[in-house]
Amino acid sequence: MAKYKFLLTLLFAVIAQTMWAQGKVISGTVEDAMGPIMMANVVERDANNRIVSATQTDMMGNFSMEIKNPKNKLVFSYVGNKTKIVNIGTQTTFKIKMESENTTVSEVVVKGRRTSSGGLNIDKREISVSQQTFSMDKVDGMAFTSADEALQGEIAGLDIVSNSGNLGAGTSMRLRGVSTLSGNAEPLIVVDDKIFEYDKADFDPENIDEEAFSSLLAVSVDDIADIKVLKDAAATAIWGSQGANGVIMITTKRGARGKPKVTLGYKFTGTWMPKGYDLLNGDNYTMMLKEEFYNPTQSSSATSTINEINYIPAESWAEANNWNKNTDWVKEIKQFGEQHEANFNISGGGQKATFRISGSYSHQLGTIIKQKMDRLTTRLVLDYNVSDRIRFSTNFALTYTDNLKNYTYGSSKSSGSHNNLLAMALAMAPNASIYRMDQYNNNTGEYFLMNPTVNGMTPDDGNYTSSQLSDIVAIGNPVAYANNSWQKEKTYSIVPDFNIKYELLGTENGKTRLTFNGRVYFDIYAYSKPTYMPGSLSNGSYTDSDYNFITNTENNQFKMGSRVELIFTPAFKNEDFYLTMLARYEAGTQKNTYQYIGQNAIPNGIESATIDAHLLSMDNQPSTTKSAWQDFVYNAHFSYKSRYTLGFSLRGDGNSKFGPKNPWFISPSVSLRYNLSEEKFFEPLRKVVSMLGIRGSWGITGSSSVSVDNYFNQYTSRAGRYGTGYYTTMSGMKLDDLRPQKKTGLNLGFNLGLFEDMFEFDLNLYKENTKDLIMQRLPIPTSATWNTSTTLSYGNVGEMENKGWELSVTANKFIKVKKFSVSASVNLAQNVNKLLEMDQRVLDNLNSQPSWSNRGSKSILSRVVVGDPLCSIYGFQNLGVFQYTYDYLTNYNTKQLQLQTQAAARGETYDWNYEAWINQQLAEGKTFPVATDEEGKVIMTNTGVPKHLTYYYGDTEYEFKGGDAIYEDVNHDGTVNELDIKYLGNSLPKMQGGFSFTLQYGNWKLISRFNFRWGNKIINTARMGLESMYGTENQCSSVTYRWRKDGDVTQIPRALYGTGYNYQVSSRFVEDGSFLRFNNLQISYSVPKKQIKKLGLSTLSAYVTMNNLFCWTKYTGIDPEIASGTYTPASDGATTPRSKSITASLSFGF
Amino acid sequence: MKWVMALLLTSCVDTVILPDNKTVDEDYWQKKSEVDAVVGAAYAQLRDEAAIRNMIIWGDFRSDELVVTSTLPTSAAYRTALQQIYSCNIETENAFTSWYPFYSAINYCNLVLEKAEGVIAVDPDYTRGDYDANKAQMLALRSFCYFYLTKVFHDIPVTPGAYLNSSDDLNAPQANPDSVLTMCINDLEEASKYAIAGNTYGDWRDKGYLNQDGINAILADIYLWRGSVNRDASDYEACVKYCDKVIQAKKEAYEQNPRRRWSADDQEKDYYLSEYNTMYNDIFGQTGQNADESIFELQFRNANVTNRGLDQMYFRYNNASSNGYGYLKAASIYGKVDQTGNGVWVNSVDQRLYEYLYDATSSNTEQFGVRKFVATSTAGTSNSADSKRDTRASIPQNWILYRLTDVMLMKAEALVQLYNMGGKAEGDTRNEEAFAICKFINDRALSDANKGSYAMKYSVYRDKMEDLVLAERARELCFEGKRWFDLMRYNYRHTETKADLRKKLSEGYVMNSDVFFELALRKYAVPTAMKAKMRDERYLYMPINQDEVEINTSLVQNPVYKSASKY
Repeated sequence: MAKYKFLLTLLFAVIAQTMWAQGKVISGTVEDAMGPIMMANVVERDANNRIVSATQTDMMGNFSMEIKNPKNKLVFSYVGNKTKIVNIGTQTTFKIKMESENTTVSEVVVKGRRTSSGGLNIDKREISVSQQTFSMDKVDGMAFTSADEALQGEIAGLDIVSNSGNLGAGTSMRLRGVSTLSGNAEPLIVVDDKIFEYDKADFDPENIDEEAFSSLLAVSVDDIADIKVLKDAAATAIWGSQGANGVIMITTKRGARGKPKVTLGYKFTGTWMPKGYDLLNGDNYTMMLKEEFYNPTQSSSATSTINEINYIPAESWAEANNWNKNTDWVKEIKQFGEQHEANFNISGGGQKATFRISGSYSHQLGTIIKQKMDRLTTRLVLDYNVSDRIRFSTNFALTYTDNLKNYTYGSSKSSGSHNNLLAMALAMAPNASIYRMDQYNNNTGEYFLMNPTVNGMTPDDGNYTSSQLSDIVAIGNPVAYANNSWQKEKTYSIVPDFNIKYELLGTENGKTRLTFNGRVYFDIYAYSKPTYMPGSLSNGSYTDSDYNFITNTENNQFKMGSRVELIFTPAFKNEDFYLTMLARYEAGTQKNTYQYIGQNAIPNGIESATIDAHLLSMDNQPSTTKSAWQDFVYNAHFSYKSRYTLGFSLRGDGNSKFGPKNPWFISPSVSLRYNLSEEKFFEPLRKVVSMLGIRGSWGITGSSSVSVDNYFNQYTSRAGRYGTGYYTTMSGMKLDDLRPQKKTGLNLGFNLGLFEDMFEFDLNLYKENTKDLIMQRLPIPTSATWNTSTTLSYGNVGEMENKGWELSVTANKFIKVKKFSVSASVNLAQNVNKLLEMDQRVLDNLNSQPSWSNRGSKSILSRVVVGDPLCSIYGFQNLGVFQYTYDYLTNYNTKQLQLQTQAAARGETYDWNYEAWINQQLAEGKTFPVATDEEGKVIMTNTGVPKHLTYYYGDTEYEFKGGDAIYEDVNHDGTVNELDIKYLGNSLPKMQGGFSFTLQYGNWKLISRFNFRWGNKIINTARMGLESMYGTENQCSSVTYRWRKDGDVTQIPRALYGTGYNYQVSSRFVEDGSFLRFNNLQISYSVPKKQIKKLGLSTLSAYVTMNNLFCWTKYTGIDPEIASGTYTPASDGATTPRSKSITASLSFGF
Repeated sequence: MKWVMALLLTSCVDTVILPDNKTVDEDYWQKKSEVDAVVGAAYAQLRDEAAIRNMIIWGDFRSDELVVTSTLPTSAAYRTALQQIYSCNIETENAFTSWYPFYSAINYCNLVLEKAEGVIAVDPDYTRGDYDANKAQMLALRSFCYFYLTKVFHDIPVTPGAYLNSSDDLNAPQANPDSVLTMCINDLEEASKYAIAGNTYGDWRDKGYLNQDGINAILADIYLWRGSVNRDASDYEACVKYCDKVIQAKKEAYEQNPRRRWSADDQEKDYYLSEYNTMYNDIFGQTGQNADESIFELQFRNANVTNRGLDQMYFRYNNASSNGYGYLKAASIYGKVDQTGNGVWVNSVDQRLYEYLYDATSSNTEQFGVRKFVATSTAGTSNSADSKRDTRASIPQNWILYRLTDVMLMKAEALVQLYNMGGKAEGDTRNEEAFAICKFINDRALSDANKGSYAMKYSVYRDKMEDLVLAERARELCFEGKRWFDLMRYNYRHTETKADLRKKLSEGYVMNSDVFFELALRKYAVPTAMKAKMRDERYLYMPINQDEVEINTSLVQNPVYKSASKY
């Protein structure tokens, strides 16, 4: 609307001008040192600086025009020259000599600058809340796909963990820990004061089997000026019901007055995957499998029918040459990834208008084959000053991404559960061939597709793969998958906004000002993801659900909002007082549509997701969601002599997501700051201590991510038939009393600046309490239900606490020797999470007994315990591997008893005490599967034999044997069961942070950035699979140290196909995930101005950056950067690790 | 703060948004058909797998009728739960303690009762009369559910209305059986005012929906139950009254519509029942069901929906192709013809023997497959082998809740109790009337040729007649979820002290009678061992599910049961 109004006004103005043209005519010439100026602007302005009439000079620099009023001014301007203003008066001819504008500013030190904070301009020294700003200048030339990568390790208390090394996978961000159990735990992202979010209502982060789309991709890193992270509740309270997870405010670059500046940049990044696990080759694999099949049955014919591992000659089996290879599957799917990024921006403007236009295009190839992402972003920023009082501005951003991903079949394929190519390659049988080999071992050029398995069938029975290898068949050929199947994720986003600013009172600082801001904004977003899985990858029949299977997911969002605000800054006679306040009203609506379809039985070769075929599945999830919101904000800032500061804000949120019963959420906040360093008595110290401030704040924020649908009683018509008539069912209760989660935060902060703020310390202590935690599936009495579901979809169930501290230190050029300078920054943070209270019914529901029939990674025991932090890991304590079998003891005893008998026959005495001998052996450190007491002594049964240690959990009792994993029998009852499960650690880091150094020498600059996490535990489920020796999937080379015979001392249990309990979640797979990562090392050189001026350039810089150079860690997996769920522990399922990369970039400015 | 609130109230954007991808309450309740669709949902709740399964477990498996099939694999899902019930060591986690389908049916009934009246004003096609008919059905169905639950659990929560909002108090308080039964009787009598006649439609709806006949049958059942516990003549009289209403209505309906069974040469009868050779097809057969002599059946057949609960219990435990492996089989007493009265059957020409059981007269079998409901058509007058069951992929088999012979035998049971009650038997013909009913039912099931070979013996003694009625009910209504409640009524009539329905189980109980044990424990090898585990009234009721007790804190568990974690 604002735009149309503006155009209309302009139109009227022009009409008015032609109609009222009258009065006197003036003329003149314009020139500068070089001579007459063509196309110089000559403008007549009135007292309010509004343009009344205008003209331009001709080729000779002459102009003439009719003026409206002799009291007006004439303004002469030309790009590159200083603007000249002349009063008209009675003069009729003008000879104007313009001077060139010297734009080079050596070094501007701005002191006491008031910066924008939540709509108000506040001096940095008066900021009473906890926030930290990161300027993107610091990482110029580095190759980041999105802003979160740039922030990693830079912000105290913001824990950023990359989701995976796949393109566009994004990161998982946690500010001051997790304070929610369901819904989104990510901080709110605000771009240019606009909430940037893609509605993921009813999106359960615990159940994602795939990476969600990283929405931050829509903001080009090159367009970002700075990023401000709002941490405490007082700072985030003005974002009210959405600010509970913290707020990341991104400000994009705008145009500046001056000659048009053009910057061109190009970046090249080469990426590669860090070295991962050493796997078995084909020969070692078949050896291991033979042992694995032999061990449970001890039968000599255990593997006789498994042709695949028997190196059958090709004459007797057609498939033989496909199963005798040494394929390194991981190597086959890895590649050297290239990323090219080109960007340009042009900015400039004059008195009337400033602009910035930018565009960037990037093309990336992943570290795994067939991953490719293209992205185009453009942004247009225009500010137009109608007069000193009125300014229109617009910001128009457009992003397109096209992400070609590997196909995942987590849910569509019943047999397998791998959802990433790397995990498939790790598990795939290394003796299988990539391409089909004929009987003479010639490569036929087609991918090897394994024969199907049928229970009990062997290759000798027909075209089958041995049924023992069903795991392998379920995985399929990773190379074939990568090349023949795909997912094409595409997004479009258009984000325009239109603003008007009107100064109702004074126009400059020092006068009482009242400013009106109006804004209309839109956010249009389209997402589509077709996938295709051709029948050529399936060994099933034409009618199988995954044969020629296509799916399509579409998601569209339209968001529209408008905002009006008034900012009032009274001028006090006593300039020690400063007060500024803001009142704002905002309203908007949003609509999302979502659709998913899956089809199969399509003809070969057709990949279109819209073909008429058998409709296999269609999502009945919310296909359309609507929401509407409105909010009021009042924010005030008062300070006296910059010594005492008081901040206050109040926000009222009305949102359809809160439900009809609680339509409003009120977020108040108060913050105070006292700058001791501004006191008179402090003056002598000020040379050393330039700033000493103490801050305190309190505030309330909220969060709610429940879909609107839950606030209504929903009916499903034609749910079924009773008799011949259809009936309608009710899907459940209306959640009329659901409230947003309410977080109350207290923050105590200290600011210290030394030596003119060369060293700055910022310390924050906080305590945050989240009440009314929203949790899914709240149990209710069955006497109140409408169907088999005995839960409410959501409920407010508990309370959680996060306590911690953050310290950030910056040292700006603290070493300065001539041209050489060093800057550094360090930040540290610690957060302690505790669940204070939780509805017992919900706990019971969450902490259901695990089913131990699904062993291994599937049975991670996730427990939520009141009084404990979330994301804790529970399992057995692993104590190594039993060196000896039970029979070893029995046999030894029998032999000794024989000796005793023989000795007695000879009349000699032969001392033999079975129990004492076992205890002696145990004391020597030998291990047997026998029950022991608290002192480690063997427990003997009443028949005089040692009690056999057993595993008895849920199903049948199993007696441990030599070579089995030892699990601590915590209660010494001779049985390892659920009572022996222990707390093994927690996935939340005890401390995390980062540090960076910047060394500068003249035009040379070296930046190094590090980040670290310390004290977090990870369940290495990848290694669990790679050392299980339970199925037929490939294993890690460490299994060659497996237990084979009595007496072997090793940490790796024996191979057992389909039996045993050797790879339960135990301390063996729980690893310390601490790491220190050398994130970036950048060397840059900007060519001195003098040298490039001849080339017509204003700047020329070159950068070389090495990313993820080293990672110091004890973690044995590929990369310890693994995010935990909101309450489940971190588990490493062999997702693509963060790649290592090197970037070279060039930037030209004209 | 005040001005802020004022500003908030005058906000100009409506943040209450109706979702347009869902049918919500605000959009519903506009049309007659919408009311009818929710009425259907209420009945459909009871068709739930768990409801039918539980009716079989609660009504039949607990009694002397059924045992667990000996061929049940160890991995079968309900094996442990069934064993607990069989050995009377029921834990409160037992899978058969769930009552949700009954309460969800109650919820739908309440929903119609709350919302349907508003439709009259909106839809001119929906008249006050339509509403009254719907109301009658819903009141009756709700009463049926409450009555069933109180027979199984004794003290049950009574919900205040349809649970529409999460802010409602979801913890409904527990009520004693006396107040539950009084409520049911009041509701049914109210419903009786508006209910439509039993032959209104002439199609499945006459049996699928509760009408005047169904309401009267439920009332008779409730009065018989309450009368047996309270040993109260007025209750028995009320039972007889309502039974007569049903019998009369059935008779009139039949005579008004002379169809298959009553040709011109047939004489007028008191009761019109199918003959022995067509009765299975009429009542249970694949082409029959919703028979003339039926009153209330849960409709699976017309909707072509598999009766999964029935399927699991009597046909295939895992609903798959393993024919002949239901969880339950009939106990040995059901397979033997024993004229001395120690078995169920006294006559080998009793057609029901062949229709209701597989391998019925095989002497070396310890348990017998249930044929009733499972077989698609009549057996003829010989054994049908268990191994030769009909194979069918789905069983769209109606579950019968009331049929005429049930009501007739209820009347007989009440008459026997009224006979000689509190006075001399002289001139009292009620015993004879009861005998006539039993004989009529028995005779129709005997194959023609041998009808005379078995003569039912009339006795003037009330005890004998009581046993005779009970035995006839066992023959006629076996495997239909009735037997355990027959036995409980029998027990209540013979306990030393009279039980009190006004007391909750936690407040008092009576010891069970020996005559009850004699019958109820017939299927056990060592009945005395079981006797100790069932010594008092409380053991005859099921425990409330553990989850339920934990979530609804106002519930008091039946004191004789414990949670598995407490053992």
